[in-house]
Amino acid sequence: MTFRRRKLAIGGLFVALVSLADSSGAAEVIKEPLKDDFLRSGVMARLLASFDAHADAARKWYVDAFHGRPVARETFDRFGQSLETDRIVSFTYEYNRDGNAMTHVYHGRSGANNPWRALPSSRRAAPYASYFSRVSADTVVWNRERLPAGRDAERKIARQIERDIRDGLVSSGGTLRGFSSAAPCGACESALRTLSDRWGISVRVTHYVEGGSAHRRFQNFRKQYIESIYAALNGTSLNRPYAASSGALPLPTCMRTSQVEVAE
Amino acid sequence: MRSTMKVVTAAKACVPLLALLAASVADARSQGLIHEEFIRGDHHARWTLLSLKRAGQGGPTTRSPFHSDEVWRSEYLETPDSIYSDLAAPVALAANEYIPRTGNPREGLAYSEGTGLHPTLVWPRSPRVQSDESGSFPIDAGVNRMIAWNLGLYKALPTDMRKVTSQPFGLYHVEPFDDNARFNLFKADIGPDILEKAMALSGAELSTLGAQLALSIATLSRWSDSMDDPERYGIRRATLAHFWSATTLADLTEQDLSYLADILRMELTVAQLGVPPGDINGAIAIPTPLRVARTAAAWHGSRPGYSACHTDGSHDPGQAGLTPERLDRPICFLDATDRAVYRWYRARRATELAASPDDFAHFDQAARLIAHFADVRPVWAGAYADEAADWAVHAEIIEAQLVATQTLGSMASDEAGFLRMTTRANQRICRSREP
Repeated sequence: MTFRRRKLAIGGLFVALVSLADSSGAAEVIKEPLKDDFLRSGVMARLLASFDAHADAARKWYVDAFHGRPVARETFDRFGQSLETDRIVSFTYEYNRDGNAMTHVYHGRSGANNPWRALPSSRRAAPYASYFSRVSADTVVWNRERLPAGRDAERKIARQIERDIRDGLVSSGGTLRGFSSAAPCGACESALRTLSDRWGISVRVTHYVEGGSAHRRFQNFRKQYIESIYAALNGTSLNRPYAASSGALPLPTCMRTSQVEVAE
Repeated sequence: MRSTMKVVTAAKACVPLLALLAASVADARSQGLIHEEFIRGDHHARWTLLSLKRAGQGGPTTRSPFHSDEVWRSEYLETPDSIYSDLAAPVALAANEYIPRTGNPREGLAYSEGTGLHPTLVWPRSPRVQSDESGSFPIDAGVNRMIAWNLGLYKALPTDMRKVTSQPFGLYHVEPFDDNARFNLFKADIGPDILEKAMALSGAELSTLGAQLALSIATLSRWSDSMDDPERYGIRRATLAHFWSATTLADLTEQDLSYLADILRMELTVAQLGVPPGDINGAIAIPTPLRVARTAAAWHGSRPGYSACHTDGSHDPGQAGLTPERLDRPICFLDATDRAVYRWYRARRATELAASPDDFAHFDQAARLIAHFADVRPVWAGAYADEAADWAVHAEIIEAQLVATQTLGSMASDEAGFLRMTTRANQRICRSREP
């Protein structure tokens, strides 16, 4: 079979580059808005990966905090809101060490990683970081409850990379490729610029634009994940026995159990 | 070392990826009759979104315009309970129309919301209009074919095509694989070179994960080939290079495997919008889970000793299994529907993943593949047990994904419509464990 090269038509894409550079060869920071990629790019793939890693931890915390019991829709909506609105980012840091090309991936999320301490009827669960699954040896899912100076996803990642450089886990002078579900805030850009200046790291961030097709699709997909948590734990209108009970129950048959290992 | 910030703004040329309906509908369009914000060829999305609009305009007691998966199957399959069923009369095939293409059905066909329970098809240049009383299915055979194709009700080599294999398959070569692979790979839109390499890396013990790997590589290749500046869109060409130069799985880095798994997750999540994923003569893509299943079938169907089909592609009743989950009696992949092959794939995958480490020639490498690919799931199934994937090719789930993915123009669903479709899919999954 002959595969014909097909030119991608990017309709409605408006690119604005914000670059930081000078004649001395400083690293640069580039910011690129993306309205739609027609599902032909790695941006959505990386953002879904980051969201999946964080939502998976949230799901396990939720099951643990409520003993697998169904909860009122209002309570669930409070749980789902931050998952639905927090900015999701994924950064890939490439650098050289001893002549070898190395890569680290950092998945981040804005806001507090565990914003649900005060949900009604929830119990004290395990430390939030324990609900995260290991993605791979070179992939870091930002999972700490204690926040650095701010709650911005990019700031968390910048601080983490800085920490990793100081700890000798990664080397400075590499390139950082980032994807974000929304435009970075001013403080986020500032944090990335500081990282770039201090450690000679080139930074390039592509972010979805609110109102664009790509952003809307991403929102739809994460809402679907959140709704699957509710449906799996509460049942659906056709599966009410779960919702009708107020006592602790075994997990409904459609709830994923293989990774709910944080029990009592 | 301080730098100055400069702003460079570049307006990218807007090239129309989404072909609109043909000019022949201009008159009807001017009358507000036609919705045109669709990709040509994706009639399943059109039908679903317009049905959703109809549903939203009814009161709480209004009947649902949506068909359950069972109803679609009953309408489109001649013998719905058979995995070797031919298509029924509403989707009767003409040999040269077997494969739904982006240009089919004819361009003059258009839609109106209508006023009844179901969408209305119109042919602006002719008096033919699907009235509200004409039934709850499209009256156009081409539209029906496209929906049946999307729902996995087609075979790899349909009965009507067995004597006309020179078109469109004639130029589709799949060396070193045989005809059993040929038609399966065509449906999967996976190149034989990718399949051969992926299976060499995954090993026979994990052929179903090898098929997933092949799908990810094919997707990455497509992205890479279609972009002038792949790096801008987060496309890692290095992973492709690593794949093609690899002799064992150890030659793929953790980041390569992680990246490929991310691509697979995305492809399992989205519903294609009528745009062919690669180059299979403009054919509409079948859903990703079916592509993965057909890829695995291509490989298994070419293995020595596989004998379930006659030479003309029909199943051999003396050899072929009738229940896809019975792996000891393989089904005829060419004659079986895409859905049946998916059932076989799911069973085969579960068996492979349940194997003992002692069963693997190189378990250390197999473990890496398992770690990255065994638990990749579409985002809509985030909280569900693994069995939820069994539902992935059912109408309720496919239509929910069509709505979630379709965000174009005025036909994009509103929040209520989107949630309605998502809830419908969730009801399907949580209501029963048996697809």
